[in-house]
Amino acid sequence: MTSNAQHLHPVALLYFLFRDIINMIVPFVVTVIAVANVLPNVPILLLVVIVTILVLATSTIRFFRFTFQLKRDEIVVKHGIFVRHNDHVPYDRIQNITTDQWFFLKPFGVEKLEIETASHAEKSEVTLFAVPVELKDQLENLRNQGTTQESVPTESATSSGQTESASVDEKNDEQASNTYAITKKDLIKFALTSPAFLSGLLVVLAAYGKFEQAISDQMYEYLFKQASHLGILIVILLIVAVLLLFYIGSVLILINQYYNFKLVEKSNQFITTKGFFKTKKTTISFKRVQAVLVKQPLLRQWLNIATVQLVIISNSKQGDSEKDIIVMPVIIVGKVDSFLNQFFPSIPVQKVSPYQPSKWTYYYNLRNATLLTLANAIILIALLHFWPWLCVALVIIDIGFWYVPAILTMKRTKAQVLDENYLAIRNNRVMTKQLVLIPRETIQSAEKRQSIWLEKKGVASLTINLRSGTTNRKFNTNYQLEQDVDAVLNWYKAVN
Amino acid sequence: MDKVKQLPAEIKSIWRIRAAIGLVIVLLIAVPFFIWGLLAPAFMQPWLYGITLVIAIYGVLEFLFQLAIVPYHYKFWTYYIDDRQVELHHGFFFRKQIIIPIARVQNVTLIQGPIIRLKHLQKVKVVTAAGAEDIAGLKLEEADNLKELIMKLAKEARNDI
Repeated sequence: MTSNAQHLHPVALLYFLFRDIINMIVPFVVTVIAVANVLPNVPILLLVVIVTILVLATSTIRFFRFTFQLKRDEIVVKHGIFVRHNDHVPYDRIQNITTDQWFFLKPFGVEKLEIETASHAEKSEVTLFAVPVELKDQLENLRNQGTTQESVPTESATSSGQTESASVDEKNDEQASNTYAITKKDLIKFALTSPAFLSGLLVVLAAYGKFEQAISDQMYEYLFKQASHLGILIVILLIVAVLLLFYIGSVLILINQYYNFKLVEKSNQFITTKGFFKTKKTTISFKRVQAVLVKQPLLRQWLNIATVQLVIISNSKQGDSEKDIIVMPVIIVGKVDSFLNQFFPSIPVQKVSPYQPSKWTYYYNLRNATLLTLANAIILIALLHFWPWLCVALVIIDIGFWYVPAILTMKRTKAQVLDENYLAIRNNRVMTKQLVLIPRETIQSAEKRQSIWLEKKGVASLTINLRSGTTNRKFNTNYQLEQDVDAVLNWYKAVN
Repeated sequence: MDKVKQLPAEIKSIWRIRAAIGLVIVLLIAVPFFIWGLLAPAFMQPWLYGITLVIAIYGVLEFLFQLAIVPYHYKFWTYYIDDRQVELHHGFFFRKQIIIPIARVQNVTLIQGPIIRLKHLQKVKVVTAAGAEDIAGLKLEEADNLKELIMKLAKEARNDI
């Protein structure tokens, strides 16, 4: 199937214009001010008119130069004014297709479409700014045609590595599509219990840390005096107000992002749709999925709900936790198993069994927490012993800061081989309880760490390296029984 | 090639040469202070000579330490390669055992610096989709064998990323 070269929807013209204006505005204003200062006689208005016409012209040319063409086995995108680009992306190299649609584009029936491949580029290979909504399905079809034609013989040859997709294929015949859609209640629960506002707060605090160096000591003293005038109550109120502001902000952002969240499983792909102002649709091929993550931040533990995410390979440059694709924003812990069975039938999740951590796991985690607490406490006391109350308060925070995660970690860490294809790792990140279900094929390397002192106690640590986004992702289980660690290593080494 | 192997014995002299180069660099840092001391007014001289001495002593101690742990490094740095995986072990007090299945290897990089070249060795970097592990030095033919083996197996067990 070959179609003619097509232009983008005319709405893209506005997009190009907007982008050109953004790019031009700062240099232009600076130039105008400079020119006006040096040569007061130059007619500024004329300059503005000329530049506006130039920008309009480049945007228009840019629009008309931008074409894409669906060929039999590749998509060709041509763009550029002076430097002509011809991008060829074969369909079978496409990794992810993402579309997003701002609400104002809905009436036109167009959306922005991005195509990712496995290349090392930082952003997506192809970005089509405004194309008809149907194009995505068209692309998906072309992509599937290619894979079914070519990979049928190879799939049977490498069937051991492809059990997941094969079993899902069978399932597909029975059920046209496997769907989950979020309810309003769940969405609100999800937004209210997200710890995302804390990371926002951390960013602000980090910025403040840089700013702090610039503040003089005098300024500090002045502020301290003012604060003591205000009284401790008002200071606390202020802190609470700031926290609340961040919290409400993050709740609104999350509701906007996950509005109408929907997960569909279709022909070896997961398709998620979400967003209020901007509807974002992401397609993830099963082959991209490296692990399934069941996460429970503190608040969600109290409410007994969890989030299911996928660790995937992508070109996204986002932070560690954001790049894991959420496939299930909120689910009651008791229903996680049936959800996983529905969407990941090959994972024997019911085999994840309760366990009793060894006493050495307790001992080493508590020992490390104690050492760190003591080290910090000594520094605090040395620096702040003039203010006993502050000192006591900080030491209490110090104790909580190290001990709470340590206690959670020692209770929650476990590596367990589920069957010949799956490994389950349970661990704790600060306050978040994680269960990671990892297929053997996606483990890039495994590492056992031990010191001679740990060897005597029969204790070792295990690190599993996965690929996530564009980089490495480590999953650690520290201070485990050596026999458990060896069991995982032997399982990993066994014949594929 | 399927038993636990040690790095070639030549790697020991390479580590010693590296330690010596480290010493020379540290001493080179000390020299300007010494010269400055010669030219500086009298009241500054004890300080500058002191700094020179501290840097030099640090350099020598570091050098001796590096020399002393060469046998230890050598003894506890082993690797094992069969047609399924590469296994690396290092450390005695703090041990590490790394397993990389050959099917997961994306590419093998052979690196040869000037010192390692003297002894006809090659550093081998085994690269996976999630990071890389080094084998500090292998004989040329061993490195080539490893490369060939991985290339062969990679063709058989293509693990598409």
